[in-house]
Amino acid sequence: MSDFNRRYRLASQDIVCEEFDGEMVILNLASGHYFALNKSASVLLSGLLQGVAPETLSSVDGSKLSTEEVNDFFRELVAHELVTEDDPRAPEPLDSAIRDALTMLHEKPTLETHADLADLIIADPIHDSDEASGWPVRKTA
Amino acid sequence: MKTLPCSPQLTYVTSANLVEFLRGAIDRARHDTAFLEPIHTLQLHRLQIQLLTRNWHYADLVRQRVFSGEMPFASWDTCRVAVLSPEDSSLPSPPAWGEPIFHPRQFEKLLANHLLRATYFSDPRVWQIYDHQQKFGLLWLTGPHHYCDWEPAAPLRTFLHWSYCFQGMRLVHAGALGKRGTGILLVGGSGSGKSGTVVGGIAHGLESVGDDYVLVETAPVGKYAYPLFRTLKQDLLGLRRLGLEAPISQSRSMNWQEKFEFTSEEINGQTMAAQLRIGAIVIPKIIDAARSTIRPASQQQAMLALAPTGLFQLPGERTSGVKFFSDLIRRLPSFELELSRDPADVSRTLESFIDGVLPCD
Repeated sequence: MSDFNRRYRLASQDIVCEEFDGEMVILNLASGHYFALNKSASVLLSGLLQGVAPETLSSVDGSKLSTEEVNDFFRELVAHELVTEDDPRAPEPLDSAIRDALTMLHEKPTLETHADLADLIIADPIHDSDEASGWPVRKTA
Repeated sequence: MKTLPCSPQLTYVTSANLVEFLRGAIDRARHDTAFLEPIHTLQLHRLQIQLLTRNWHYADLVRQRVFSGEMPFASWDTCRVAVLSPEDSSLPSPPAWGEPIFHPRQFEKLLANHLLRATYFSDPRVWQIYDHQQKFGLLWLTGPHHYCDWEPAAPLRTFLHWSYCFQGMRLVHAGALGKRGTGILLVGGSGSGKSGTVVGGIAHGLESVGDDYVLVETAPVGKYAYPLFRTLKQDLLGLRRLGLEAPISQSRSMNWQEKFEFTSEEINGQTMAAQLRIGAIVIPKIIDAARSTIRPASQQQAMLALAPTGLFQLPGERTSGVKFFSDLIRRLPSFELELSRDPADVSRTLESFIDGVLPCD
């Protein structure tokens, strides 16, 4: 992550987030990857999507999460192309609800990734099919 | 007849000519079938489908595999689906997709502002096209038998998916079991035990509307599941575990997934139920325990079990699908079912759950 002190947003309209009882599911509608966030990760992502800078979220007074854990999580979000740098407006201040949640949650933020359906998404009409097995089995080289 | 882009000279379809090609293909198919009587008319929940084809083999598949019967409500919508190939129609061979990569999501976006839906498979070369404004669909094959491997078990599935999405309903990748009209959705990926649990439940007297894809409607009065396909599927090990190896495996060959296809009538003499009112989402988990147990599951677990395959196995409608599945998860309690080794025990556990505990709004 190049700049911890700016706003971030979801990387594209193909990245969708839904929250269920404080736990998020992220779906990449383009790639077929999907992700499960635990409560700590979900709170952090909520803050991020409110426009709070990662640097702010990783240095909350009283937070049970270490700066390293929080920064590692943000790097994972970027590495999986789930979030990207937003416009250069000033980041938002930390919301009290996010702050209170971060002082209570002690579980390391986790991003569980699922790629079992990713192969269904892209098929090369010329190369990636197999007459014996059909689609979506890829032909071996 | 106007000049159509799907003329024999057209070899490739690209993003640039896609919409024009799809509209032309539908027009061509409508012209070809203008004087053809429907070979079969399907009565599904709030949908009637008239099948237009000279492909007797495919017509038989539809007749045998797609559920059709007395439905609780009259059909809201009627659409026609033509199944055509160069051997049985005036259509040429379907053209190929002319770009290096066929990306379903990008394809979906090209059609987002049109009442058109389509998908393409390269091997075999198949176009599936649906024009919702004209309520007309086209399954365009290179030959009468040249459809995708998964088509026989669920003929017309893609057209059902699109047509129902426009009506606000959805094909859900789930099995369903119930008793006296009330039941559960069983959700999970391949190998999670959904189908085996459904087949076992049917064998032990429970009702079902399907083991793989069912239609779900979320109405103000409740959430309901309806049957779409008569086909159930199990591999040899599953049949053996359920005590069904002899009557099923010895009378037919396996499909492309090395599974045997059969109907509920072959198990218990009963057809699929007309509908089930759904009171819970259940996530089966194969742990091979001595006794089955049901315990609450998180909504996140339920969403992960339900949504991805439903979104990525069926073409298009992904954004609407996320909303549909999320709403469904939030409106139903979720449970995890740890499956024992004994199918009878699994069915008894589910029956007790449906009878005594299942909350319904």
